[in-house]
Amino acid sequence: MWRKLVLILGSIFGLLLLAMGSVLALVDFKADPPSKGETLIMNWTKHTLLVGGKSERNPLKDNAAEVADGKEAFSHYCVACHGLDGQNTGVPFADRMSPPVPSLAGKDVQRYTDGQLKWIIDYGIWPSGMPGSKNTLSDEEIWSIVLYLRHLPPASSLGEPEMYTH
Amino acid sequence: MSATRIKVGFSSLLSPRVATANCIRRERRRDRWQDTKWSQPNTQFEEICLKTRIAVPVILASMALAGLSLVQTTRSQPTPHHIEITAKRFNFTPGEITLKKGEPVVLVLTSTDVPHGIRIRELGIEVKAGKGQTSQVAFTPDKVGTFVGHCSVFCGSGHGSMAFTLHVTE
Repeated sequence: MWRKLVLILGSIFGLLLLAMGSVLALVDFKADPPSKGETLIMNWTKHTLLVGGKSERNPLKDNAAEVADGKEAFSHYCVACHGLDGQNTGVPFADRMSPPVPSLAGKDVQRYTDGQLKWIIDYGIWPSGMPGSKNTLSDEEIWSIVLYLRHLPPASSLGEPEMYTH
Repeated sequence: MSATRIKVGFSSLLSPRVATANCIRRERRRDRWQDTKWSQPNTQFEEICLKTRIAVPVILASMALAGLSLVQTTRSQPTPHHIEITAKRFNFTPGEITLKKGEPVVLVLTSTDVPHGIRIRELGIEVKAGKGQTSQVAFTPDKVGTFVGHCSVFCGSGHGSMAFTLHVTE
C-alpha cells in the first residue's frame, strides 16, 4: 500500500520536474526590453490594481525648501539608478534592465498620484528592479522625494552621479 | 593778606574812585588766574586731571548700570539645561526626552560611528555631528506636544527608522 503511494507521488513529482524543465528550456531569460503589449498591460495593472496609496496626500508644503530637501534625500542612493535629474542621465545600465529604468519625468510616472509614488518608494515595485525604501528612508524624506519628483530639473542639467564619473 | 588789606585801606583813604578801580583790577586778575588754572591747562598732567575729573564719574556710572543689567538678564534667563544624546546606527540614546515649554535647553549630540544628525521640523531644530564628533544646538521649546525627529544624515539601511522623540509639557 505505502509502496504504491510513494511510487505514484514520485512519478507525479518527476513529471512536474520534467514539465518545468521543458518550460525553462523554451523561455528566453535574457533581460530584453518588454514588448509594447507587455508594457501596456503592466502599466495599466500597476496604475489601477497593484500600486496602493492612491488617496494619500503629501503632508509637506510645495515650496522651494521642501523640494531642496527632497533633492538631497533623492541623492542618498536613488541617483544610482535614476541619475541626479531623475531621468537616468549618466546611468550606464538604465536601458539594459528589463523593464528599463523609466524616466521619472515621463508621463507613466507622473500619472501616479503623490500617494502612489510614496507607496512605490516604500515597497518597491514588481516586476522591476525598484526596491522598497521603507525604514531606509524616513516618511518625511520619502514625501520630500515625491515633491522633488514633481519638480525635476531639465534632463542632463545636473550632470552625472559622482559614482559614474571616475 | 594783610598787605592787600593795607593797600585797600590806603586806596580807600586816597579816594573812592581809586579804591573802586583797584578793586576792579584785582577782580580781573583773580578771574584771569582762575581762567588760566581751570580752562587752559598748562601741563599734560593738568589736562589729564581735567579730563579725568569728568570721565571718572561717567565710567563708574556706566559700570554700575552694566552690572545691574547683567544681574537682571541672569535672573530672567536661567542657565540652559544640557542634554547629552549619543547617536549610533540606528538608535539615539536616550531616544526620548521630556522638556518644559519656555525652558531653554542645549542638545549635545555625539556620534560614535558614522555621521548622524537630529532634525525636528516642527520646532526648527537641526544638529549634525560628524563621525566621533560632538555638536550642539540651543533652543527653547515654544509649543506643547510630542514631536518626532529623525536622523538627518543618511547613515545606512536603518536610517529611516532612526527616530528621536521629544515631549514638551506645560
